[in-house]
Amino acid sequence: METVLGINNLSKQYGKLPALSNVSFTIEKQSVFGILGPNGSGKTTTLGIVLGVINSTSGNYTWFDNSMANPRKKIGAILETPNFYHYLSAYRNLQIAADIKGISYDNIDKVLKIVSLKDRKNHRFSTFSLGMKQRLSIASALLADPEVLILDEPTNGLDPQGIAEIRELIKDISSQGKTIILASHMLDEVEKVCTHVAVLQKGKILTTGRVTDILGTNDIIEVLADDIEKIEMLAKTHPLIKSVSKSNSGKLELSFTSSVSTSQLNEYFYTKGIVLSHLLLRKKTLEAQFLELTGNRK
Amino acid sequence: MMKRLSIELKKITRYPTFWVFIGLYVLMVSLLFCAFPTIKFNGPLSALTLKSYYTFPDIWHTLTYIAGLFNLMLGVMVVILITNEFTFRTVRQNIIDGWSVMDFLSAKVILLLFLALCTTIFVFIFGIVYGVIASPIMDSSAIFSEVSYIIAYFVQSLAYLCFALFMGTLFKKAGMGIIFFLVYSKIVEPLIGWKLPDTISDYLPFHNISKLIDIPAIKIGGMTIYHSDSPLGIHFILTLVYSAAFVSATYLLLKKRDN
Repeated sequence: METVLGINNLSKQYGKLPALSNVSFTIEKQSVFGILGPNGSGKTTTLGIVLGVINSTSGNYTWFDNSMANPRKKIGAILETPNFYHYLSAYRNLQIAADIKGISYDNIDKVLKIVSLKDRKNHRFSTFSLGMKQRLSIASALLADPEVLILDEPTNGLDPQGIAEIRELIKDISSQGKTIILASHMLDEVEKVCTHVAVLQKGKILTTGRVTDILGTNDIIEVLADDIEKIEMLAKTHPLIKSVSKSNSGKLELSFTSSVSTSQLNEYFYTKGIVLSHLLLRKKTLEAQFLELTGNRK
Repeated sequence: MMKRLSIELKKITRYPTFWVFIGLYVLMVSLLFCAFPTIKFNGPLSALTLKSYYTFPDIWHTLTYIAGLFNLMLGVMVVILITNEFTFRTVRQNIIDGWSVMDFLSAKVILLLFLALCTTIFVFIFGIVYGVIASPIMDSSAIFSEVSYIIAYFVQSLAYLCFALFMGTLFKKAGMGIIFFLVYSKIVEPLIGWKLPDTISDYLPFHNISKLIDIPAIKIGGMTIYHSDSPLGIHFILTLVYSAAFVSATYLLLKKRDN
């Protein structure tokens, strides 16, 4: 796999306050990489550094294995807030972005249409609502048909329909073979669209890897039967089993590597001659999962 | 270079404040220049006639001196244009879109060169038109003999704009930038200059810049009461040096700071 972005021991101090400490991860081509963390965990600082607007205190990063002279022209990004000239129209703002990127104006109408702002293209930026401003910045990021799209909290300020549209858009762009880096404090957002994730807290990487390994299928199924030894033995031989443990109340807690429904499990035990007396799916809440990831390190 | 200029012009040509300042500058320079001859002096200066100041070649000195009084206004405008980039965070966006800090700064310097050139051309055309109407002498050697003042004016207004660029970048907020721009040039430096002997204070940034186009010589009868400096001397070179220093300081600020 080609590496799009490699980050190596990046640190950033604001005065005495460490905002990032020794952050390292690698982003592969065509992945949808989520940077997950609560507010103030260093997501924007990380992205700001790799976009060249924030100076790092130490560490380094490389775009496309240093194979490009000006990598930022191949990257479309929104960082924190929509940044536009307030007194200029949406169209003129995008003209300036296109000029800096050295591309023609042909794409402007297309990207404005994608974010449904075509009707407002000649209106001044200052007349836009928060959601429209956010959508304009997404249009600007898409302008150069970039290899990499960096979206920092892209659904901020959007209504539910807007959020759904952005998620569709991310999936759509990702299916075209582009790489997407998505920073978010919302676990379900990352879980829904990302393939890989790095979890940040207080400027440190807690964990990084595939979403399915870190966030996915963490549901637990509780079972109980008269012959507890037999179901334990059978559970351990289930082809998708991940772990088996006994709860305080004597029930068996099973977790699986990919999702297994309660009816499938019931059928599995039934065909082996076991009738379950207790069968319960315990979904971990997103908050519980996130706290589990971040809570122990406080 | 033309590409960067066109980008910078795109940023400002639809900006009403920009045109207000340009309009005010043109209006104030024309008004003060035209109104000046109507002033009646009292006392020893009452014998002073202003007619000669308005004919070729002296008109160049008079005109550039008066226009120079309004450079401050162009400076305030540039402070606003620069601080806009920080308040709208478009400097950040420009860099994200692919510019380096150097690209951003060079685009701004090109814009300042262009603005200084425009005001100089305005002053030049104004001088030609007014001079042709007012002068009895019309041969080209008289018309262009003191045209070095026009070159000096270009350098002078450029220096003001470079200082404004630095102040705008340093303070990031329009209000602060304008206040410190005015406080430094109109209060801090005159106070420092007042304490120092002329031989030193003349070379402080704003003293130097205003010395570049000195007060027009005062002659009464056959006597020269005030002799003014030539525009292409040491002050000319020092003004260029100061401008380069302001731009370099701006670069260091942008480079060192998180944008």
